[in-house]
Amino acid sequence: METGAGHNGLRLVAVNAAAAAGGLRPGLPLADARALEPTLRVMSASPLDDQRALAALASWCSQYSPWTAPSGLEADGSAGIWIDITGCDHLFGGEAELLASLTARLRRHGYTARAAVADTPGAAWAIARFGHPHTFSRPHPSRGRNNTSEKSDSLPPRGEGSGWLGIVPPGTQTQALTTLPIAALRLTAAQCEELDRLGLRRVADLLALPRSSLTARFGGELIRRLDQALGDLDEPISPREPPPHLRFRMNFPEAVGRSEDILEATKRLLTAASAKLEILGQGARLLKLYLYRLDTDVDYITIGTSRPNRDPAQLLRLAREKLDRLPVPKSIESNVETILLAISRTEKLDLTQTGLTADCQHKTATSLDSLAGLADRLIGRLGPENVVRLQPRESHLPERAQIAEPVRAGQMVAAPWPLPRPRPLRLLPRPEPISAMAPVPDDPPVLFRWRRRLFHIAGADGPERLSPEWWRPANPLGMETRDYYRVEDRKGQRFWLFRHGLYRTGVEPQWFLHGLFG
Amino acid sequence: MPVPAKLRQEIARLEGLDCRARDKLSLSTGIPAIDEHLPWHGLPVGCIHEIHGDNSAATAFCTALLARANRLRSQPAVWITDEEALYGPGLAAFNLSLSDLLVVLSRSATDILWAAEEALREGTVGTVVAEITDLDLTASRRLQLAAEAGMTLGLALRPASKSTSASVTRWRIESAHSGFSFPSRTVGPQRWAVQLERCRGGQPKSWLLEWCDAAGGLTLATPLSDRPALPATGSGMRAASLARAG
Repeated sequence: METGAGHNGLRLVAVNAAAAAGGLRPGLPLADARALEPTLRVMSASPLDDQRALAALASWCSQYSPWTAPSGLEADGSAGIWIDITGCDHLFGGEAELLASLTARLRRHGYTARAAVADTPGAAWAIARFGHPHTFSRPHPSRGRNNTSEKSDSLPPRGEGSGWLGIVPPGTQTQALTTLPIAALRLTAAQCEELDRLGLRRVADLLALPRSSLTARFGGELIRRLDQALGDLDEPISPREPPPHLRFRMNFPEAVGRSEDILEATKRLLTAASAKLEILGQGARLLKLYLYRLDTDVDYITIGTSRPNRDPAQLLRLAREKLDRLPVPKSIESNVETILLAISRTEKLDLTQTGLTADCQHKTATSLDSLAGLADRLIGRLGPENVVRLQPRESHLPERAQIAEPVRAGQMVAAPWPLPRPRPLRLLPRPEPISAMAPVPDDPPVLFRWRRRLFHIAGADGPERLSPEWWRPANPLGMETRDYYRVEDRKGQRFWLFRHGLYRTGVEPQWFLHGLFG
Repeated sequence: MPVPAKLRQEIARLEGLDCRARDKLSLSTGIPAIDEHLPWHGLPVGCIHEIHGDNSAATAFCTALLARANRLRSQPAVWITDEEALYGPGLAAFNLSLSDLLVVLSRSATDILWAAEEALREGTVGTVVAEITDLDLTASRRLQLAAEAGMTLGLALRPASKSTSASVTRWRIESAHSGFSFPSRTVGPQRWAVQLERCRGGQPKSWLLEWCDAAGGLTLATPLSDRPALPATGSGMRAASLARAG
């Protein structure tokens, strides 16, 4: 039982089966509920957590079909999930088997679920919530477009046992809906109340009336809902994420926990995917591997490649990196019962003779192209921002003159580096202030202290005067003109120093160390 | 084959370092004096070489070797670093082709070792530079095996070498006074005191090297007395400084 603050104090939001049997229902003030059931256990409602749990459950349901979407929480504390099973039911042996597997597994996880299959999302929604067990029983093999709305709630389904399956044969949703209350049309409470006052209680009552008068009286919403339920108006289910191009799944008869087994299954899935990709002349750019665990948790890893790839061995190496980083399962409950490989992005990849390419490459191709596999693995573990190529940028400001460019697929342009002046091998990310002693104005210092060490300067080159780029609007560092000197200390170490700002009498000049020469 | 060479080969074989296999795959350093001294007539590929010392000097030596290796082997290189300080314009001044260089950044020592091992083993990488602070015997052995598997030149760049490692050579690089600071207090061509501290099957030795713009690489620094009267490669800036000082 969950409670939430209503208009007049706390009210029940959801009740479980036992409480419902005791006469409690959502919307009842908590005080009344306590009077009816003195032993009532109450928890405060948290719609946000419910939403989150529902989204997680929807992602768990994606093992049945890529198109799943939560249909939202309802006033009575129940909630539902849409699954578009078009073309997916045969994988499970038919609609009835799919529903049976779905509800049985949900029940195992402690959810009271009712599921229904119909041609339209609206009809499935209605049957899952208001259907009767005796209405439909036969599964139908041929169906154009199937939708199932699976309802998981903390309420007992009205009257029936929780293992109830509703399958509306194709094209018969009108008959199936006629006997149902109008609330089955996904109308608001206000709309239902208004219809009820007019004596319109069943869907059949509405169907008997002319459409034009319904629209005139109740607005377009009612007709829209009716049409959606009956299939006169198409209603797509917007999936949580774009459905993948290719999916490969593997169910384990016995849930597995060992990482070796998961890796082996991944290898087989990748091999199957590779064969399919080869036929299609495509290579994978983005793959997701979902691990469905017994406790309805779904872990997934994402594998991105810098160029289309369908080499199972290479992809497996990428996957292994990520799989190793998944948290270690705590208990047998987190064992994996299903693995699903979804390839979300592919690109054209012509047939190549793998294995010989390294020798066949002409010698001029010394770019990083041959490192694609290595780069992918490095990016997979360290992140794309940490695997870079240094590129010149047209700027005379030292810190802007180079850009660290993430390695991507495509042409590597060997841009020439301008070499007008001596530049250090290492440039400190930020110039570090030093205390310097420069006895002669406008001259390099004779000694300076950096990182607590004292350096005596034996020789210096410079200055090289660099001014701020006035044409760039932002000047974040409050930069002034810098006079750069290349100095060498008595031991022969070479540094790149600059004085911040022009020399002014009476103003202590600020010195910075910006780089290290070899 | 002369007897000493044969004997040297035999010793190397006993030490698990087969010269005959690597003779062809050793990389000339471009400095004849060093090449002659090394038993492989260059730096052997498929091995780990340790370079340590004053950080920026070691970086410079490493960059020069890498640039040369890139040119000779025409294979891409990987530089694994623990700081964001590598600076393209400076590296390019050492004739290093940056379009063939993959820079990998990581703060974690474990990740650096992992990345180095992956890159060394890859086979398509010519040279791997890894900035490794802590290289113990096990880690260096692993890297050595990876380098052998990929026939990659591995350069371990370290601030200081404390522990023993399985590297084939160990070099200590210190900055040295630049060529000429007389008569004015200016900076001349960069110089380094290069010390071969350890060399399997060879003897330690040290050299004074200098960057030569004309040759585009490292050369043996000649003592002042043997130099031509005035350097031909003086940059405009240096000349200006001279004039100012004069």
